Amino acid sequence: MSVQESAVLPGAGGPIFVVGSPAAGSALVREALDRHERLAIVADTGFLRAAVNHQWVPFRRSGGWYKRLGWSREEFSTELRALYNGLFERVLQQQGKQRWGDATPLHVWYLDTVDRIFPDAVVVGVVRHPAAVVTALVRGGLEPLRAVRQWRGATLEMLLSGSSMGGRFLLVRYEDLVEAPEETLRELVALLGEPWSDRMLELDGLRGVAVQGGSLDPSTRTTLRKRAGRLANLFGYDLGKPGKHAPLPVAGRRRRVLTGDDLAVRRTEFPAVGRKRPTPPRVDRPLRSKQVRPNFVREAGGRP
Amino acid sequence: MPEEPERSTTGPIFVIGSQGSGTTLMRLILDSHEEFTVAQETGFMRAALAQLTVPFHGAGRDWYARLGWSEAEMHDQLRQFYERIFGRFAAQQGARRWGDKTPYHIWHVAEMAQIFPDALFLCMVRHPGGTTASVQSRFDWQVPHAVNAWVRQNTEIALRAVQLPGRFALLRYEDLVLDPETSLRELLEWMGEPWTPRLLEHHVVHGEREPRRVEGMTSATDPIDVERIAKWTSKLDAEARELLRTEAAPLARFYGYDVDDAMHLSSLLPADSARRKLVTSADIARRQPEHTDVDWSPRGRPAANRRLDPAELWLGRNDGKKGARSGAGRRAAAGTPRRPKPDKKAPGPRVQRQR
Repeated sequence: MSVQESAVLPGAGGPIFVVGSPAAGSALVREALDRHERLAIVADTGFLRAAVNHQWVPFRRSGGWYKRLGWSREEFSTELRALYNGLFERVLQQQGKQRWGDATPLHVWYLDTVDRIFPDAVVVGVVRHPAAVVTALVRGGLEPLRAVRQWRGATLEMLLSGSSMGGRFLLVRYEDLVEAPEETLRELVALLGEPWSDRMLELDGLRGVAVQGGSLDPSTRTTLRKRAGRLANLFGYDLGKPGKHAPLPVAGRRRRVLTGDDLAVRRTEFPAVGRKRPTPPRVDRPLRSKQVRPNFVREAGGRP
Repeated sequence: MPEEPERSTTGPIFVIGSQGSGTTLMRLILDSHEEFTVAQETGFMRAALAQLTVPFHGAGRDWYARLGWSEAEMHDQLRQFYERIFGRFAAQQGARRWGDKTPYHIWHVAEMAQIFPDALFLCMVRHPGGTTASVQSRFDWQVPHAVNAWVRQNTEIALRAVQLPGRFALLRYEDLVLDPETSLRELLEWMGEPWTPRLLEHHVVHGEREPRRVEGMTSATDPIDVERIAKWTSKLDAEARELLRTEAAPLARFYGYDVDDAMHLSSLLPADSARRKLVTSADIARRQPEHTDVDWSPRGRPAANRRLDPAELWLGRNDGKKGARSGAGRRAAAGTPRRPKPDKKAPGPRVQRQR
């Protein structure tokens, strides 16, 4: 499929969701897309978590309250779509743009919700070398093991959900974006069904940025290799060579951006990856009263 | 007595009150009116708060402001959303006006009043002994937890009531049960709705509908039962009654109760009032200064009913060690295993259930 052919995709014109592991570069992708004359991509709303809480009221024993009012899940999803479309519509009006999007990394756990509420949406997944991500997260104060888990969980979830979304999922590697911004962004906007915009390249973050390999201590590196080695390989990363990445096989004339279909093909080469679905963080599961409860931060002991 | 502002006759009706205080009975009664439908315990306000503050998300507070919406506008968007959800339900039931009954919405009155500026609030209050015995037997609550909940919730009710002149009315369970017609006629008049005798036949009306077993293990086809007023006196032990005396007596007096006497019921209304049962926000405002022995300081709302802001709250596993709100929680707290289910196939003596 050529870049020109790919411009007509299912979902073209629907909202755009930029997702990924924390510190994987979704903010950079958001900024680039947001510079496009037609696209308004809002940062880090997390509103899909609110949407799920609308379907399962927090700390109740059972979900689906709307069903008792005679609404089916599909009908309720349609109502939620109308609500959120209306809210994001204002950004379009204010900025004189035509297509809205949202870039919240944690939405990676809500791709089924995206499918249900916004069947015309396109998801842009961002992935980055795990050594660089873990280095950034550890610098931000996260324990190394939790940082490894975060990268692995979010990236694996993105892979499993994205590879079943066909042309409605697009994968961008941070390294491709930084090394070849124009080529990567041209492929991306074509797949989004949008015309090219030179403004996207005016972003400072895309000028002369060197790919960081990350600096991990040997123990974290070993943990990373054990827990996420094969997953990293699937995305073309070599954990022995931070900062290095192999090109990924993509269909047609594209070289940088993968679709969900490309990922599905890639997965067949790594049958051991993704046999077990990662468990979402506690906050990204329905807040069932039997399983979770809120605690005050100020209470004795505070957060563990 | 101060004049009350004019009320909307089209806005939603929210039935609130402590668990075990007769909110289900009131819901069933109102729901039997031809013009109303009152949904059972949707609890939707926690979901509404999640729209205003995305749960446990650092950037989730006022996220809509980054889309260019003010809080008032967001409230209006939510109102329209819920009007559609509940409005269609009401239309399907052939009703003109919708409502919801969720006891824990006590803690959401302020937000509900903002989101639904034309809503009316009807609060049920019951003797703390009756409420405690009810939640103890139905939900396995422990007595200290139940008494504490009654005090916190009924303090909140009084505080909120005075902030909503003209939009807040209160009925005592005992008044409703002892004199349903007077209580309900006054309520309907306050709501600006025509009287219908169906309200007194709610058990017959609901007998024609499904399901007959509704929330809180209540049977929708049970008629009003006067004996329930004093039933708690045989259920609560001396320790529980002492706890009522030490913890709940001043607030109980405010609501016209005597913690030691189930049948004592002093009027909450002034002698010159045209009403005999229905208490309005003006009545509550007038009584508050007279009861200086009640601790009127605002009680913090329970964590589950707050905005789930990570600066204030964190999400933990429910290990059942707090409150013992359910059978599972109580068992976990006590470290006792679940009682084994009886083997239905095993032969054994048949016991006739005593009524």
